Amino acid sequence: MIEYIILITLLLVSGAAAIMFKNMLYAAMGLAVCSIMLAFVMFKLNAPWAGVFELSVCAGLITVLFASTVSMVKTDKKYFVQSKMSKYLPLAVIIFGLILLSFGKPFLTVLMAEHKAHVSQSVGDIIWNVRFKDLIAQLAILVAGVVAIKAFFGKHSDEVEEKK
Amino acid sequence: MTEIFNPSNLVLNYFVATLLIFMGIYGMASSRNILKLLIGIEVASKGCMMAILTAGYALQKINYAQALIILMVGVEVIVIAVALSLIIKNYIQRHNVDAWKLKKLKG
Repeated sequence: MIEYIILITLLLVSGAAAIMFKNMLYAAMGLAVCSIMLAFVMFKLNAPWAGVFELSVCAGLITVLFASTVSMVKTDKKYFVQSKMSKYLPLAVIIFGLILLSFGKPFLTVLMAEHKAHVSQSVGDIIWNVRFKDLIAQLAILVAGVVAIKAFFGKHSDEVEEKK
Repeated sequence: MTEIFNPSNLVLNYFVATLLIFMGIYGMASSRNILKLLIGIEVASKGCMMAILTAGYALQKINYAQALIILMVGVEVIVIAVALSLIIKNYIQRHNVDAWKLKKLKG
């Protein structure tokens, strides 16, 4: 029980750190720690497949993408505009949390009311049979993403003509 | 109040998910740095994942929640990859990552 509360606290602190750090590399690291903590929470809530994906893709791949982008983009302070509002994040979170504790409890408990037994299928069955259309849509998004990146960085015909 | 901080009661998870979504939105609203906006989106999406996971756990449909999260992670990576490539392209052309200066793009 105490471990779970520590996990949840670290999740919130690392999420806040990711937003508050001025150095973008540290912010990316904060995001990675946030993903790792969320993966542990997933393991605790009997969701190992989601935890593995979160750990490998979000904590691994996305952090690498962020770190490589930060290294490509100049880290001069002039180019990294940071609003003063970021400093007040903890205060804003505390105020929002208190409001949520005071007025939001009926909304937070609404899903608990429908607690009922359900014969569950395996994750594979759900992805391949029940959510197959989502899988097709995801594939379409993947192809669109690849085409977009190719369009951004590929050589255009006018550039090739200029070189000639 | 003590009821909320009891981990066996899933209200704590919904509470944390809401706070994460709030932090993400605050991060997006408070920064002009495009990379920071992306980090805000990521933090908010972590909150959404936590909410989906908790709902699945509470309704005893954890496998369904896992399937949704796996699909969500896939889409998230593609969105981040495309957005980061746009940022790099913008930086090559304009030498800044300030979201306010993107208005120069208007036709």
